[in-house]
Amino acid sequence: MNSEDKNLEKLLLSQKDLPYVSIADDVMSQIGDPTSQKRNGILVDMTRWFPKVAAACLLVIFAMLLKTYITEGNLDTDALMGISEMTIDEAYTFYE
Amino acid sequence: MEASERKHIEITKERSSLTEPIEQLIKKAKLGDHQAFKQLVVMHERQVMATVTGMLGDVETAKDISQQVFIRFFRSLADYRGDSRLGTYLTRIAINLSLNEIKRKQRTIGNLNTYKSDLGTNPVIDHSASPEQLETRQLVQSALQQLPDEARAVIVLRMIEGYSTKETAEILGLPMGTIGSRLSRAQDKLKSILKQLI
Repeated sequence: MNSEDKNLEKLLLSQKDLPYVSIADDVMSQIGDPTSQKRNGILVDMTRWFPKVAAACLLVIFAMLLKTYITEGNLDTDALMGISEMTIDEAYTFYE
Repeated sequence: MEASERKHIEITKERSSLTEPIEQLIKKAKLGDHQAFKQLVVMHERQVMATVTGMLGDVETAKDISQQVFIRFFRSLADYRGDSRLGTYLTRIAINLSLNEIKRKQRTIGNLNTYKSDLGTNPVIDHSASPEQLETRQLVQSALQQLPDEARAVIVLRMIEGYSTKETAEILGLPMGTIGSRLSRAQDKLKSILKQLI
């Protein structure tokens, strides 16, 4: 082997020990490893359920506002807090 | 030290660091033991990544292709009979998927003779390497990308990964004589490319 070949071999061997990022977890996640799924499961469930939970909360808030509007006839702060029909005396009694 | 000897020492080290032999892990993986399969991935990921990175140059694409190698292995686990060493088997898949990726890129980019990697956008970054080492690596990688695909495969397998001529022939599905002649031509071409680059 001449010096040129040796140099080439040396140069090519510099490619051998390249740093790398482990792909094992990504592979396991893609093949449906139960442990990886368990690790990511809560996050996946939360992401999946978030729009439904948010929609349900909005629906409840809207229903409560509607009920207040029907019974009180308006949506001012007192009506929302349920103190629109409270007198000053009742308020004192309540706070005592 | 010969490249094949180096390879043998590395494999021996790899095996001795394991609690279970590869054959046992493959058996367990076939029975659905995901931890055993993960251990196989951990054992071979460096080798597969190095092969694919050598073929493609672009480290991000190499990561995706390397993942596909193991996913393909997982899907064909039942058919794996252990006729060839697992490392050789995975390298064969890695080379085939790399060549497919090169063809796919060529179709996308146009009718190019060689795959032009995105080396400039996704080079291999090694914070522990000196600037000179990084420069050398990039230079060699750039030269490798200028080789025809078949020549590059022979150089990566024989000279970087340290496979024997017989193993390289087995991986590429070519006669041993063809590997020898291709290696000689590829080395000459690589030397002239490197001379131009330096």
